[in-house]
Amino acid sequence: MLKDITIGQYIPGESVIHKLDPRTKIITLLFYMVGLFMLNNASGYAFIIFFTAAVIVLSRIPVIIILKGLRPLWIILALTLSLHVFLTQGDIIWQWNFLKITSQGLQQGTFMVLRLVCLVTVTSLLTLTTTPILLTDGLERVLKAVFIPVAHELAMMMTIALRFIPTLIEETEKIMKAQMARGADFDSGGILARAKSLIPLLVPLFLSSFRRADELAMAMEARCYRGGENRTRMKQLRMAGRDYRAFAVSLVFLFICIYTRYWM
Amino acid sequence: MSLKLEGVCYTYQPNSPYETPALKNINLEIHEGEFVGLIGHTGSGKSTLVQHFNGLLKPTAGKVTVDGIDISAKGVKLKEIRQKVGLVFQYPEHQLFEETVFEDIAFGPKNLGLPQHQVVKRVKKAMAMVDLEYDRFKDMSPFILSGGEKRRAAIAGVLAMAPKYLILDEPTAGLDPRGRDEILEKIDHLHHKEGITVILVSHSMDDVARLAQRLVVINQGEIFYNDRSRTVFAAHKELQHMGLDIPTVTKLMIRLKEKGWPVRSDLLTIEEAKEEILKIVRGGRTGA
Repeated sequence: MLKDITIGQYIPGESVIHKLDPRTKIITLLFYMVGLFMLNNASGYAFIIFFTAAVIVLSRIPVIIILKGLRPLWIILALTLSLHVFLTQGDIIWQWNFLKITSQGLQQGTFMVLRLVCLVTVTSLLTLTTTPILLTDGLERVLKAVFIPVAHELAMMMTIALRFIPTLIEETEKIMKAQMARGADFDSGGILARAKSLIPLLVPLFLSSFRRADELAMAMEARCYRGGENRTRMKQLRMAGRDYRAFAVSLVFLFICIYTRYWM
Repeated sequence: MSLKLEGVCYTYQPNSPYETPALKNINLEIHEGEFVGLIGHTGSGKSTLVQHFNGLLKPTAGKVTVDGIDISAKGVKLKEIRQKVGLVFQYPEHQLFEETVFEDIAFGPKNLGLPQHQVVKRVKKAMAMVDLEYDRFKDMSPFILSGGEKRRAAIAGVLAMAPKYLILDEPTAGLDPRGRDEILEKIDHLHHKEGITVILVSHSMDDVARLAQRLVVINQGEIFYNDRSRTVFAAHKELQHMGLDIPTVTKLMIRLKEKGWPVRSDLLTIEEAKEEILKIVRGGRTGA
């Protein structure tokens, strides 16, 4: 169940998307997001679904992995959909007591869900196709380019956070099992009982996270880590022809998004 | 009455690119009153195997029965199974969470829904079993204890469930020699004095050789040996091939034999080895 979370996971591959410079991927991802939030009609969403599918095909990541990554999201998606469907004012097409569905709500809800799905899909595609090290390097350079002072530290924090997601999941499962072996019950009872049943899980989890953080800090210091000052890299990032082509594609993409919004 | 695995297979993340078979057709029976050692290299599937005994994992194929009850059957109360089969995980001190040692050990019995006076009784007994003084430790925070004490407190947390079968996954990992000896002594005691059936999972041959009557060797998800300790360690070449060692004493005796001393090489404890060596040395003198 917890193993289904794919955030931060990397799947090795040789596709074009894998080979793109991480800076390209980060910046085009920003373009993608801007484009996504521009959309306001069906043709726009049809276009972005087609575009996203094309990117997934190019990345050669199995669709099943991406779908699995979406699974933990279903509560948020269901909530978004129902809130929009039931609470938007407009032409009523179905009514029962105080519940009513409007055509505007139905449309709005579908759009919001699609928007979330696209957002999560493409963002996870970034981590699925980029090694954590390249991702930090890219992030650091992008942040430096926009004059953020502690770019290296921020990027390092993000990598560490990503790196420890799977570890924490594993740890959670282990502690959960250990407490279950002592008769703990995590999935029955009312809300209060369930919240209370999390204490035996959360306390050890916090403790081990602090212990891990301590150990990691020690290990980094033992190897003379002292932030980004005068830090050089063994592998320099270099933009290639495919990166410029990717930028061109994403600009066209952005233009089409704007086009569907204002002229369609 | 026994723990029984019949044709058990377990696959992690089936039908995905990460599909990995962890157990392949395991047949194993643990009888009441036995002391069984389960050994295997890291990643051999031994931790996966033990989680089947109390229903934390359900086999992808095959059948697990605890005292005749099929754990995969509908309507089985897993809580009852978990009461019967106590499982102490690796580094059990990482599961401590309560404010006092008493409360932490009482977690299990309380989950079983026992009345307060029963809980107190169980906690007292469990603490006595692992040699933690009740009056001294009961109000202490578990987090200020020493490493060995923490581990014993955590083991007491499982013992307070009053299990008939006790499974310990690497109970001595990360402890200093003294802490290790203390724990092993307690486990031996539990088996002999309390009559608890023990399954000891370890990759330390020295620990297992001293205590277990029967050894189960698992490699790449399959059982390779399932026999008396002496018989298993006789196959030292095959064991080494699997990345497993043999007890230091056995190793010494094999060396001596190779050097031409007429000693038995199937010995497991220092005492036995001492006797044997003295016998040969003295015998040699009187013979000369």
